[in-house]
Amino acid sequence: MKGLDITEGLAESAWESMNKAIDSRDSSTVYEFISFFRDILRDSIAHNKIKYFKEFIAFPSRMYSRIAHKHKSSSSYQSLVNEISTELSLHLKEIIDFYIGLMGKTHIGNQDIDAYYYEAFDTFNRLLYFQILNQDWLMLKGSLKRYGHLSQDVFSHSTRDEIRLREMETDNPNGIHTAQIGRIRSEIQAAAAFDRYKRQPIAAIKYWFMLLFEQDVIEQGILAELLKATENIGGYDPNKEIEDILFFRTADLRSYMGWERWDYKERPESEVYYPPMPVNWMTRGFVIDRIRTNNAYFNTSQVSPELMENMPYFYDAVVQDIEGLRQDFEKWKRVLRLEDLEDFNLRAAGLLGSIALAKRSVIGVREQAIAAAALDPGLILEFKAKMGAAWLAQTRIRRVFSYFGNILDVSGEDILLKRIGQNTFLAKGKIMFIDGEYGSPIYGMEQLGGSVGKWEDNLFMEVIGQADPVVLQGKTMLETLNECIAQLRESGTEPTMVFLEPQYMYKDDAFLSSELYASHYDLALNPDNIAFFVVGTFDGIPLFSSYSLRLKNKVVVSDFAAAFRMLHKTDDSWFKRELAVNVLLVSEELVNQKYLNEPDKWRITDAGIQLSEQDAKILIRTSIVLDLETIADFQVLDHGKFVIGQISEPLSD
Amino acid sequence: MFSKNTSSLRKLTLSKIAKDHSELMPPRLNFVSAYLGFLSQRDKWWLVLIHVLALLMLFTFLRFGWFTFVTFSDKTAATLIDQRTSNVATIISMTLAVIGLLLGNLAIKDNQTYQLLFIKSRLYLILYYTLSVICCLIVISTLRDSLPRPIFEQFVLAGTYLALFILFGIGYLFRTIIKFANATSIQAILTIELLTEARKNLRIGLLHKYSLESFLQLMQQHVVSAWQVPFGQLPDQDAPKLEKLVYDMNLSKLSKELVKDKTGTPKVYTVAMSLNLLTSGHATFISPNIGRSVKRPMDLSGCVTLRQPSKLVSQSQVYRSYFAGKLNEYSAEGKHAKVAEVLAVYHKMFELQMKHG
Repeated sequence: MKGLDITEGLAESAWESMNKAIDSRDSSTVYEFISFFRDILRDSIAHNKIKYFKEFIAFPSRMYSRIAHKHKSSSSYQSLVNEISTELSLHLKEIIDFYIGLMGKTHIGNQDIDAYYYEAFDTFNRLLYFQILNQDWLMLKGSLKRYGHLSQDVFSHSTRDEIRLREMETDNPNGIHTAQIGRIRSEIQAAAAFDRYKRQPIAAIKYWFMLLFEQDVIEQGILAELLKATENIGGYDPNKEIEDILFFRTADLRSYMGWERWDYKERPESEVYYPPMPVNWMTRGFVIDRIRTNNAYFNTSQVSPELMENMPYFYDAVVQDIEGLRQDFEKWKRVLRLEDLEDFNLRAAGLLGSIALAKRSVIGVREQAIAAAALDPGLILEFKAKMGAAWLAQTRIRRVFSYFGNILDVSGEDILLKRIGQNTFLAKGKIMFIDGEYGSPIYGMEQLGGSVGKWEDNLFMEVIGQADPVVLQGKTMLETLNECIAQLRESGTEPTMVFLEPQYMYKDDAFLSSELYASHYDLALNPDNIAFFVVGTFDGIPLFSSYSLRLKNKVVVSDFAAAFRMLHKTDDSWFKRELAVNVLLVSEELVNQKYLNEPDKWRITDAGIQLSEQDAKILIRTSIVLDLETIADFQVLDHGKFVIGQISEPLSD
Repeated sequence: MFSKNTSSLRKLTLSKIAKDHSELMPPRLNFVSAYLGFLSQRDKWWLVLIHVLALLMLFTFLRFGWFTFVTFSDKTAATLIDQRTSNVATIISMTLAVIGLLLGNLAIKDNQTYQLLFIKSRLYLILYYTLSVICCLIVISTLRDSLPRPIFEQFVLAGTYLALFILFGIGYLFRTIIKFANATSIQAILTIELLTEARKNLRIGLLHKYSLESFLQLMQQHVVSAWQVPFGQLPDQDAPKLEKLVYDMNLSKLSKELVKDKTGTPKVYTVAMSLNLLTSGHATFISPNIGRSVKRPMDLSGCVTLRQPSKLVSQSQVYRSYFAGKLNEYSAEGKHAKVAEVLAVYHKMFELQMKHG
């Protein structure tokens, strides 16, 4: 039962008969159709039914193309051309001015009027296109003139309105003005819709003329006349022109105004072909027009961020189009109103320069937002926890000390220890710590925390290496280890710990098959169950491993508790009271220092655009300083209680 | 919106349409023409015959006033009945010949016009009436010696009166058929028919729209939400259930049924019910169906009046295709005045749709 529409099929019947009426060459019959269509359009506005408006608004372009088609084959249609075709643009003008403009004001309301304007201008756009296609220059000029006279007095919004609006918005006690503010706002919106729909087809047609000239469809003289006719329409606004060209490049122009279907010649039916791409001819038209009028203005402050995303591609396209024009300068020079190539280069450089400037400011928008954003405490906490976990997973010698208990907290005591860790300047790393549109995680940061753990092991090896230890040489791990243990036992020391590289646990078959080696061990040795931390026992002595490079091809055998001691400092605010993680903004001092050290690195972006010093510094401010450290040191208590074994014939990698 | 006096949603909706869309309501016919229209249908010959017999009896046995004024001498009645019978037969044969001639010369010869002509001129009624009268006259003349004389005379008199009505009927017939010889008046008649049909269709549409609104409003009052087909699940494709046409609903009864469930089980409606809806879910449109208890469910089918699907009123395309054809023809011939006429009808249709659709 749904969609019961008693008018179903009537529109098709009317269109079909309209064609018949045109074929009959009787202008008064055709005129009956025009008045019928206009009646329906008027009623559809009176009842605010866009469906029927959409159904019939296309009559001028349909009539025009039918008459033009018939006129081509027979001159007997001349009277229709004279009496009907020339008036079609007038009908459209009246529909836009009187029906939508005047009647719509009371019957439609500002919210819905946008759709009506779009439909009407879409038809006007198509009518102009058909007239171009037929090279009906005289008629086209007439249509353009009428187009120029389209006005929207009804919705005119003056600066006075806007001032009033601002006043009311700032002084709106108890919302008494809210209704009126809404009304004025929607009026301004309706006016903007009208302006946009009126402006865009003219820009597109201007660019289309350039394409026609390029394809030798029209001559320079005609092009000049046509361009003059479009210019007479007026209402040029360079800011809107920039917005429009970026819109044309990104919008779906198949459904929007149908520019993607425009073509300048009849293509053979059996071949696959594509009509000219609007993104190309529109950009080229824009470039030609700008060079022709010597207009290098390109300010994108009013352009929305979505459109700005197209700027880099737009810039590249402009570069290409300029190159194309340069190649074909002889053809274009009269259109461009230039004498020689030098002038052309000068103007092109000017235009490119200002577009490049605007393109740079694209980069600025994002970077400025990042540079200005505050750090998110939640993200910092999360980062600290991640770093801590990575550090904990890699810390080994500290665990051994914890196990044997020879670790001493000297916080608050006046003992100087070593800072183990690093201060990292992470370029463009701030995005990790800000919330919102530009925030984004960076992966693989865990190794920062893991490194701190390894550096502790390195420091331990360094300290015992400098303590003038007993060093024994052996060919293999098995031999060296046996020697070391024997040496210690000889001197009356029972070893409690072996420190070695984990690779022997899976590569050294001789070692693994030794009777003294056992792969199982007391779980108390490895309470956190770290992989490859405790790798078994040898002769009952637990084997601890570390990836520290300083342990490479070495083995340390010791009575651990008696031989060494670890000192460290703790703080409640640190991770597990031991690892300090600080996330710091780049200080002004550091910004200046970074810029002075490597100005070019910051001034020239990845896209090859040169930035000003100020912008470069904004870019530096999108970096972050990460500070990770533990404070600790190691001491050798008894030289006799440990031996270092050096393996002379290490395993090959 | 639902008064307690009227429980029929159909009546409520129709009265709302009559109030808000008075332009769509059919013109009120007087009783006589409506009744004659009813009798004029092609398949109502038996009803006409009964009427004629009733009238005959009435005129025969109603003895008062000027009915008793006419008197017959001995043989007059017998002669009269023969003459009347042959008179009527002659009139009929002449009439049929003339009608045949006129029908042959209709300005627009198509099924639609013939059909319309038969209805408008009450051709069937007049024809059936005439034949019934002849039938009566023949029977009376046959019974001339079997009936008692006074009764026979009264029969003859009554038959004569009936025969007189034939003349008026035939006069009416000619008057209307002549109209159909003129293309303009045919078009005027067709226009009226088309717009009448359009109004009727709009009324049907509104009936659906408003009744659906009422139903949804009721569902909202009782917090019954629409059933969403779970994503990825195909609609139930079991053996097609019997579809029925929803002719009327009793929303106040439905409302009473809905409040029976005291468990507060959330319910959904699986079919958005409205008048003139073809559905197989006429007894299961609310789920789960729990009334006072699971075992005593709501009586949903009791809230709905059903009709056979064939009663679904649908649009007829006949008049439109007539106009579309005419518009095409006039346009091709460049008859702009005619084109304007048809387009005015189109315009009227659009206006009705935009106003009421």
